Amino acid sequence: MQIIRKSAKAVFDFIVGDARLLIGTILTLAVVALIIALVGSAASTWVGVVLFIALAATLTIALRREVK
Amino acid sequence: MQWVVVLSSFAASLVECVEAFTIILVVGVTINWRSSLIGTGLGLAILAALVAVFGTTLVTVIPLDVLRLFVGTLLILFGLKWLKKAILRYAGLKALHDEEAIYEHEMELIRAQGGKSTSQMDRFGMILALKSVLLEGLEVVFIVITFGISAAKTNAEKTAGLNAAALGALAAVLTVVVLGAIVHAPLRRVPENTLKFTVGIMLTSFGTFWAGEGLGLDWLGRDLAIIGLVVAYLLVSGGLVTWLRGRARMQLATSR
Repeated sequence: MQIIRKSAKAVFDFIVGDARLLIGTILTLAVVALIIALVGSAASTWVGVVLFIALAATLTIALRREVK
Repeated sequence: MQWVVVLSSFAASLVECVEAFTIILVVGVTINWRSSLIGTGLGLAILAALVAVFGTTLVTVIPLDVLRLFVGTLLILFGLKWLKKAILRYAGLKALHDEEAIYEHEMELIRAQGGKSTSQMDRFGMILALKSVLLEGLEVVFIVITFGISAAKTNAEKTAGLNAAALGALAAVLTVVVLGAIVHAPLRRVPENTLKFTVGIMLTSFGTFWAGEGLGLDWLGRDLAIIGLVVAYLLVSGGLVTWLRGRARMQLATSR
């Protein structure tokens, strides 16, 4: 069990390193997927802007924690 | 688009190759070059096999749309990780990567563990070099596979993208080998943080674009939207560096 936990942590640290980045990215993509499911690809430009802003916010939140 | 894949893969690989080179150099100088080079060769062979196996699996098994979303997400995560570290270093909140300091530290560690100069193949030295190449190289493999495949618009282009990314990585390895052979010292002049920042921007921008396409987004201007994303992320990152520097100065002033 410990080996599985250690391996999972190693993979996590390798790809992400920060849980906030992972949660923020997954949430952002889930919300964008939901928006596209509701409105279709008609509002693509605005949805693209939302995607960018949400990811930039994710990065900002992760950085903010480093200076607290 | 292929030249972007080659250049991005080159830049990302260059940073990791420089870090691996420092350890390879330590082993070569402290123990012997035979052990160092055998470990390095084994590491490179394993990495090449990983690219061939996983790259081929991803290219042939997974449908393009699903692959684009999955790989785009991984690129975003990886890119944000690199970007975050680079921004913290630019803001002075994280120490810059000092290859010379690492070189000295690793040399002392090897000597403390009983490693000494010998003309015979040394298992400890070989494993140290192998481990360094594998650890640093895994990031390169990751970038080569994800970046190379994501650039494809059709299944036929996936292999071409993979080859372009692999070419960039190979060019980086050769560049470090040549520079290392000339300098014969830790490559401290390579602007590592600038490279990491640039690659972070590229990975995040391309990841955002491809994850969006995987979700069904029809980006305005198609591929040109990537340029817009790069500029946008650059502006945001620049703003974050300025903000963090201000915060760091304030905290320093408060603590005095």
